[in-house]
Amino acid sequence: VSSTGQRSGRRQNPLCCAAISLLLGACTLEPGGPEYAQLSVYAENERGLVTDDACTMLPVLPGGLTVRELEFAGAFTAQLEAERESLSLRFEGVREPEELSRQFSAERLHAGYSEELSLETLDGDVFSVFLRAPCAEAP
Amino acid sequence: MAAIGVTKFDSARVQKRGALALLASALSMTPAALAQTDAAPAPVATEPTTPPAPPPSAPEATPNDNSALQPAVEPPAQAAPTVTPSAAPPAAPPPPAATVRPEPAAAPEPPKSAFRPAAHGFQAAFRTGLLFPVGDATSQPNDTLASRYAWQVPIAVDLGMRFAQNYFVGGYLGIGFGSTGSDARLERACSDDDDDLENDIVCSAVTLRAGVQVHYNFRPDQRLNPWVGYGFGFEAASAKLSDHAQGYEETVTSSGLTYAQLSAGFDMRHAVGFGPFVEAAVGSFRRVTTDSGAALTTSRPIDDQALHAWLMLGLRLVVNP
Repeated sequence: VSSTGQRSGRRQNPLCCAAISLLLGACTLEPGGPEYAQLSVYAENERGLVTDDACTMLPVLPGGLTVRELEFAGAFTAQLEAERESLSLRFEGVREPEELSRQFSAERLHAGYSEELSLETLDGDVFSVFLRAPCAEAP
Repeated sequence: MAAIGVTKFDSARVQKRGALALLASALSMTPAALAQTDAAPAPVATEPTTPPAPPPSAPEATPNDNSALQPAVEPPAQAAPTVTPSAAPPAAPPPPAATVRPEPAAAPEPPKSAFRPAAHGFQAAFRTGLLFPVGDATSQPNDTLASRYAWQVPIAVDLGMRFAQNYFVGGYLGIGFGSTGSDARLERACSDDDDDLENDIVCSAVTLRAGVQVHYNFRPDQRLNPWVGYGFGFEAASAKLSDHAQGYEETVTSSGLTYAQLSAGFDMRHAVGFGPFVEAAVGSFRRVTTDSGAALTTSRPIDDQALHAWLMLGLRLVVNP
């Protein structure tokens, strides 16, 4: 209280509040970094056996190459070859493997992809193979 | 100088006798014996290995020459009897031998070109500077070395032996640190563009080179020693991306051979050597290994090989230069 009896106090500046709000609005806590191209592959047979979900990342660094072989319950295998720009998928131990092979570009996987393949192993077992991009839990 | 003194006073016989007395003292002869050889004094006076003392009146004869002769000349009081005609030659004691300063024998000077003996035996050098990528990593389009790796700061060591003055043979080991290259996708991937003030994405590159080399030193015993070198060996370059936010790490290591590591420079030789150098290491990658984490590692030979080079500019410090 001043000597004149008037109450003095700090008045909130509306411009200051606006600036703080603007700064907070510009901030984001979303992580930066690359958006990875990836593909998950898992299979389920007629008896309800589900294999693990294998998530394969396309390399980000130049020259990177990832070759991976997935084994599905000892019944058949799939080989994935991932480069920066593309990913190829081939099956072994199945009938008509050429028709089941796939080639994906990184852009296509970035955009999202989902497909269910039905295949028959050489032993006669029938599997449903699920391809999905991005992975359920990335990376 | 002595010959000049003798010939200048041949008009005064008495003065000549005084001069002969001095000359005789220098030659350990009696003035009489020397007078008998008066007919031919020149050979004695011009003997270069026996610097005789100047005549007593030399200061008057050469007033301007007061630098070298003055200290060796006896005081006039002692030289006065030699100029008196009545004075017998034996009465004039010869000046002590100590007053004649023989010129010191000329010490053999080292050749002007020699500075410090050429090194032999163990030699080590430490190098640093800047390392620039040039050429192609593979023959794939746009797969240049600079697109994979940025310039680096290397640290290298050379260990070996010097022999036959001019040659150095040994090994080299170098490691360079830097960032990833100029590839557009790579730059986008490595940009930490959020505002959480945390370094979520770390992209780095490391190169390693090792091999054997030989240097030729052009002037191994000089203060400034130019040299050239050739080497060959193994090289590897690794780029790494660490995404802390998404828990992903990826390392791509390309390895191959260095066919020619050509280098040149010069050392300023003191207790240690120090000087600039340039180096071009030409090679090619033959194998690539990708580590995507989770024990997922792929190593494959490179089919589409290409030539590249690492250019290095820097300074080196030589132990036992």
